[in-house]
Amino acid sequence: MSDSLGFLVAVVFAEVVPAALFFYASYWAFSIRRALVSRIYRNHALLLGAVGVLVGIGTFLTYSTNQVVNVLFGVYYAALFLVIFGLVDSIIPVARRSDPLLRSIIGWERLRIPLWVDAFALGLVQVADYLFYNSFLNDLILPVVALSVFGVSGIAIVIGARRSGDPLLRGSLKWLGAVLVLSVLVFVAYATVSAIPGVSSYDVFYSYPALLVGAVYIMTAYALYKSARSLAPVTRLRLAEAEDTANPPRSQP
Amino acid sequence: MVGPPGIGKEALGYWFTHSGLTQGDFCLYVTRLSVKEVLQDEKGFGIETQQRVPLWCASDGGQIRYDVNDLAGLSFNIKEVLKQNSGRRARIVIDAISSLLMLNQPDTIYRFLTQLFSDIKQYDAVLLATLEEGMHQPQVLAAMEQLFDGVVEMRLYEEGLRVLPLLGVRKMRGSPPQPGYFNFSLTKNGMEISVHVR
Repeated sequence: MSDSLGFLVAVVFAEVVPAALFFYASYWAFSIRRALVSRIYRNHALLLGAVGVLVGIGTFLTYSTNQVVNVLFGVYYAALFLVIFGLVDSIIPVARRSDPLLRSIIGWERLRIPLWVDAFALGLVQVADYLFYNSFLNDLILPVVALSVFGVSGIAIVIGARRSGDPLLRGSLKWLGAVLVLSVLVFVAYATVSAIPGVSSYDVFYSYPALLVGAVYIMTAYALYKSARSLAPVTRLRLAEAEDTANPPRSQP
Repeated sequence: MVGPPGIGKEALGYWFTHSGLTQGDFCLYVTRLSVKEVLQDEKGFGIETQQRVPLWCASDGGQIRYDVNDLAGLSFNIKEVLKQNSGRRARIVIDAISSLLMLNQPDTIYRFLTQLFSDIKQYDAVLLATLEEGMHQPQVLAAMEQLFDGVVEMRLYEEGLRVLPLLGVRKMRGSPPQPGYFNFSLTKNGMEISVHVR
């Protein structure tokens, strides 16, 4: 199934283009971070950008039979899980502050410490799973730990978004939700392509079937870009200047 | 001060209070946060909070308890502390208008502020309030801006591929209109402002 054109198309549309879009989304998150001064909002932007960088790198990760490379894959996924949880941990204080009643979100201040321990445990299990594949680790421990970290995180974010009085934050979180849904679809797309008769592991990443995964990746990157752009309202200076000239600032007598 | 969350409105409020305390003014800080949270924020901006602190009206840890459902109590408390310090210059920072607007009818807040301002004007006092951009209807923002003698806007602007935090003076009583924008940055010594040149 694979040929040189298929290889090129797959690399460009399933790896290079999505990665460039993820990095562009990160660029905007980091730019907004630089422009903000409040610690909690800067942390939120920083971690959103970090997620973009890691996911962008992830588009180049394919498959390997080399044990060392597989361990590096495990380290990558462990880092990704930790950064995603860090992002959640940075969103909750922002969501709490935008709640006019300033309510605690499921006691996050106390809950976050055991959840960080859980997230580190998830990272270790992930590395161990790549190091010496074990069905007990892979089928039982990994899903249970992942579900406990991200299940609670998901509930906290939904509650925070519902209580928030900031439409912009809600918009950013909606796009982030879209990123998560599309990330699941990336795995579904991989599974679907792998199940096609005659498609080898190589074809999944380096031939025309990779375009399906690439399309979902591009949508994911777009959703992350929208989430990054919604971190704060950014106005084009040229438009604002034109507006200013048309309506000079008012002053009271 | 009008601007999106995180841009530095609160930081300006902290520096405004800090500067007042340094000059011997009486300072009152009204916040819906706890004192502990505000002090943590101030520390992040490099503001020394060991020696001089304002009178706190906060949800927790302050001398006066901030209750979001008790506007009359809030107004009474502000007037009382001003009365007790009537011989001094006073600075008041209210970092809670947006949450009050979200929890009450705009008319109620408008009346509350109108009454509060008329009381404050009997003293040698300046009030600085912060308002979150994007959380209120434009007409509510416009109504609030009409109430104040000055409106300073802090916004993020996109210039090419850069995001710039700029400050603009929308109106200031007694001053001519100031078109254009100012760059601002928060340093260990406070806020530094320079004219923005493209």
